[in-house]
Amino acid sequence: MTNTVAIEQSILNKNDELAAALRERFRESGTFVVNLLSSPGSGKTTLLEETLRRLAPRFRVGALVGDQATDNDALRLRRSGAPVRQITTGEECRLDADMIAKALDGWDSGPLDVLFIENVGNLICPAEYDLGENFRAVLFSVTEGEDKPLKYPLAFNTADVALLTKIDIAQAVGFDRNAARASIHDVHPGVPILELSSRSGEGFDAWIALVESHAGAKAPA
Amino acid sequence: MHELSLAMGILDSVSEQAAKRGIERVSVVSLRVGAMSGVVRDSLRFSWELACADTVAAGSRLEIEEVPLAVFCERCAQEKTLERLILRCPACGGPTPRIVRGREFQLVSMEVPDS
Repeated sequence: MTNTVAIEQSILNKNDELAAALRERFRESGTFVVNLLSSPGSGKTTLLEETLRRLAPRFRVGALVGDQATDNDALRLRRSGAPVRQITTGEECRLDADMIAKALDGWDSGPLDVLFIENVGNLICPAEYDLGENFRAVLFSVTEGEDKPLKYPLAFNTADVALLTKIDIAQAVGFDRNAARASIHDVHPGVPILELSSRSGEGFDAWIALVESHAGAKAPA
Repeated sequence: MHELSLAMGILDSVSEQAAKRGIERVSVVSLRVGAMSGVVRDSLRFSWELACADTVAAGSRLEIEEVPLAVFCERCAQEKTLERLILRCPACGGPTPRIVRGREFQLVSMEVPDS
């Protein structure tokens, strides 16, 4: 015979509680927080480099960068002049709210209008973890399969915007943008999709305008 | 493989609950897992065995109650269950962004053998 003990709780409740506390902290400091998700090689770091460069003259911007092993991305992003802190996740394939809280403590970033969090390159694990962000952007490059959203539905379903990156080489690699857009909308009907290239600058203004529209209230005169 | 850290998370909750109640052994742990939870079942089962070695839940069985993805179709004004993770109404074919169920990842209960 056995006795059943009822528990009924969300398994990620500790992360969710920490994330809620972070969200409150960001609200108080007036920081708009963007969580960037993608597979390895979709262009998160290049997008962020260009984004920091363009926003820096008008906003106080900073970035937290998750990586399992190296600080290469953080070193690259520091060239923008913005405060950047590396989070080495080791065995963990994603960032969680606790890692963000620890990284914020003792980080002398000064007040920030916009904080970007570059997640570990992975579309599975990061999708489940709320980091207290206000906005989630998922990147998907034209060198990946058009059906990628169908394989990683949660990442696309929880995103506030999908960015189709490296659009400048779409034609060269035979990328079918209509098929890609349809798969994104299959798993997240109606989510805005922006097509852009961090290298050529094509479509980049719309992404910058989107971030600015959220952070805009705090723009210096 | 993040299922190992998910398994460790489940184990923490189970251990905490067991300690609170003075339970020394747990034989079954029951979860509720939604189709759109992002959790890979096989990896989770494998990780569970590793995670609970030498703990209160050593050798325990993981029971998973599957929750299919359910959406609300505005056009049909009805809840629909989806076979695939594509948010489109099986009846009218319209987009169905409103998820009603299927994102769950919950610890439901544990079974404790009579000593």
